Amino acid sequence: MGATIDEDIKERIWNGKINIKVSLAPIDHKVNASQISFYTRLPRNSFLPIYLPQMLDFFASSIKDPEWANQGNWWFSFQDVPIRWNLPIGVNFDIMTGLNPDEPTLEEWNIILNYSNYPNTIVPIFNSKKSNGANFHRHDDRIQFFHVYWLNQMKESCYCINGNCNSIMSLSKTDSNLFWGSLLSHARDTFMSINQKHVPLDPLNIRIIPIRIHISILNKVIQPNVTPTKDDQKDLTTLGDILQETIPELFPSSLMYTIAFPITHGIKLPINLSLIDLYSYFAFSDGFVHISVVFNQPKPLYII
Amino acid sequence: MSDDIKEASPPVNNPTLSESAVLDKVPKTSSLLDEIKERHAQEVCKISIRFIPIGSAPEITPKVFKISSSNNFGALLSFLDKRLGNNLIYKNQINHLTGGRIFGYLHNSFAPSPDENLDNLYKNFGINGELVVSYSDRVAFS
Repeated sequence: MGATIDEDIKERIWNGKINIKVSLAPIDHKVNASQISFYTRLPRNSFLPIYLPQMLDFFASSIKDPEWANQGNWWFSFQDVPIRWNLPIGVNFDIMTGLNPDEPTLEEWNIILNYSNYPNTIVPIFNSKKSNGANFHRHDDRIQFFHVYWLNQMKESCYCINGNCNSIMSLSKTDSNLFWGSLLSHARDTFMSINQKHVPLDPLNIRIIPIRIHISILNKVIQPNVTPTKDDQKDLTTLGDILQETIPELFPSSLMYTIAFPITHGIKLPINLSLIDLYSYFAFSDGFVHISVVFNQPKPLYII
Repeated sequence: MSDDIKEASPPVNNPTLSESAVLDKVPKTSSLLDEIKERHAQEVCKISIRFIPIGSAPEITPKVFKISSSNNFGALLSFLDKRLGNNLIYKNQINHLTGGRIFGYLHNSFAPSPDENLDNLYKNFGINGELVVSYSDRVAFS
């Protein structure tokens, strides 16, 4: 029974989606074309570059210069803040909106697709085909840079877990293609069957848990070097332990939340969750657990 | 023997996360954020970076540099690009995430993202007080 509930939770997390309304930036819009928006519902545990080709197809006749559709360096923004394409969609939503999961969420996330003025605050994308003057003819070409990026993030998280990247380096060509393909098509069973090869059978043998804590208000990401158990090797390290250790100002206690609390996949996390469970339930498809720090809103003292 | 890498951060034109929608979610009277900022500022230190060339990539001297831990990995790559750009034999490949021609790796295994902070990388992947960065003029590990 327990195993079934476990699987059910993991499947629900994998299938978590966000309603997104994408509009083309006015500056990149053909002057006389009518304004249209692209409505979609994208997995929290996926990445915007994967869906860029279908958005550009949709906007093809609205883009100011049709040639731009063949370029790679498009970018997204939310309320004028550039969106980090290299983070999972759900992580961007959580860190940019700062919404409390206990309160009503947005009906849709209004984001803008931009071409002009690529921002210098996010990782740049240089056209893969620039050197020989050719353009992107296939969607595969367009997101090739993302394949390389994603694979290196997987390798980094694998190094945290195992102290080497052997399980990724030694994947067969077939498995390697299936792994990337399952990310593109968001196919959980295939993805998980290959992903589990990078995690020791006994999770206590994990070297470092790959975790990134995003503190939007400080523009800061902390990747603490944390082990599954505490120094005495008996007690499991909990989420409360690492939050108190890394940001004691916001998490003065490891037993209860006071000023702020952590969310991931839009879910408020229990403070006594072990890091092993945190990783096994909530790791994203780039191999990392991403936690967003949200502030408790001060509640009015008297409500009549 | 080591040199200091001084990277001026590029001018920022776009609003950042801290100026965004999350701002009005922070308790107004809180001085906590100032406390955290102050602690983080105090924790900034110099990190030793040891550069090791791979394959036909040119040597760099000295091999060990010091850089502020508040920089990101991309700053290291643009430093190498500036230092070595003219001496590269193999010039066909550009790093699509920097626009430069240098590819950088940790533990001869993986390329961190250019926006990863050096403090995080040092704490997770540093050995014997150094962060060892191997670099190449083409994709070395894929």
